[in-house]
Amino acid sequence: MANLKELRTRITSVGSTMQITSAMKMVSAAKLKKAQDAITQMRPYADKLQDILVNISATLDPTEGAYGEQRDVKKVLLIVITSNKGLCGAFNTNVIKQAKRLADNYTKQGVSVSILAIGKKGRDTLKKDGYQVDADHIDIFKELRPEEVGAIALGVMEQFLNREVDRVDMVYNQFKNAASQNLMTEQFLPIKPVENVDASNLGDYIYEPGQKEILETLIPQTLKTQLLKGMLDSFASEHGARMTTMHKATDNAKEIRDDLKLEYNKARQAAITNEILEIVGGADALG
Amino acid sequence: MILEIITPNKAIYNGEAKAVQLPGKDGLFQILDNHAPIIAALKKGSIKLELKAPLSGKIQPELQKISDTVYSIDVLGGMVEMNNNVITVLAD
Repeated sequence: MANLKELRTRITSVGSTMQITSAMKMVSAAKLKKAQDAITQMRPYADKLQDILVNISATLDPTEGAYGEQRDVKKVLLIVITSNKGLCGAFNTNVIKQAKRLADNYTKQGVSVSILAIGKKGRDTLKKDGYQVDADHIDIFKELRPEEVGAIALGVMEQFLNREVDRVDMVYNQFKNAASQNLMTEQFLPIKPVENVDASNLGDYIYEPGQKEILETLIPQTLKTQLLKGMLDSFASEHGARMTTMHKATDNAKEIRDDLKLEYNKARQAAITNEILEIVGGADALG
Repeated sequence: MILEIITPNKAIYNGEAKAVQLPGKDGLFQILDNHAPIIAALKKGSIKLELKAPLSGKIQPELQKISDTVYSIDVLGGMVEMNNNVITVLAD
């Protein structure tokens, strides 16, 4: 029975696939915990920064500065945040699809689009499909440090100030929980006015050196934080997505293995029955 | 007063303090107990905190010990907000 041997090989190979997927699931689960901590730890910082911005914008309009300038949009920069590795379900596909849709939309309006790809998957796919990927940051996810992310944000801000781009959008996965992500498209530059300013509960602050100067430091800071948050969100989402995908893959592999085992046992039993029949037949013929 | 020092990575300190010295954009300044509400921008420099009691337990590695109740931390810039006797330092 050649079939038996074939089945046995398949069972072993499905078994090792299962081992790999379940190992990847566990690795992602561990990394997810870390990434999740990183977001939770950064949230108080982001919130406080936002508070101060709200405080100041009660008296000063933050969109008045250089970063808030609304211009005729001729060139758009898309920041596309994906992961470096695959095997995480629709995680990257969703972002890339959205980025392509945005880019196509802009192109239709006669706006030229350039892409800043963060993460290998987005860079490779978009490049392959003929989109203009001008810059990429691939190694950043190895160790997500605020200083490096800040440098990227500064570069983007500079491009905006030098009028190389008129609008910057950011596409990424926002972390909701381990099983689900929200696909987000955010306007990065020019900055949007702060909404719902409630002037009644604001403190009467002394500003040092002055409101304007503070705003000038605060806005780049807010932008850096926004990018960092996007990347941390994406990083956590990646591991969440991979964990769920690998969990499903493990379940599927298990199902296949069980089916194969059943088939194998049936075949084995049939083979044994056949053999016994042969022996009995032989004994009968002798007797 | 309560002092909080937060960076994008983590919270570095959260607790009582007697005074805190900060590298303001316009020069070094100090905030004492019950200071009026203030928002200030910081430049590169070091923050010096004077605590009421010696720190015990786990200390974040960024805090450099000067004496039992005095610590300092280097920052690249940031923001400080003081309101209701709570100081929040957003450091880089």
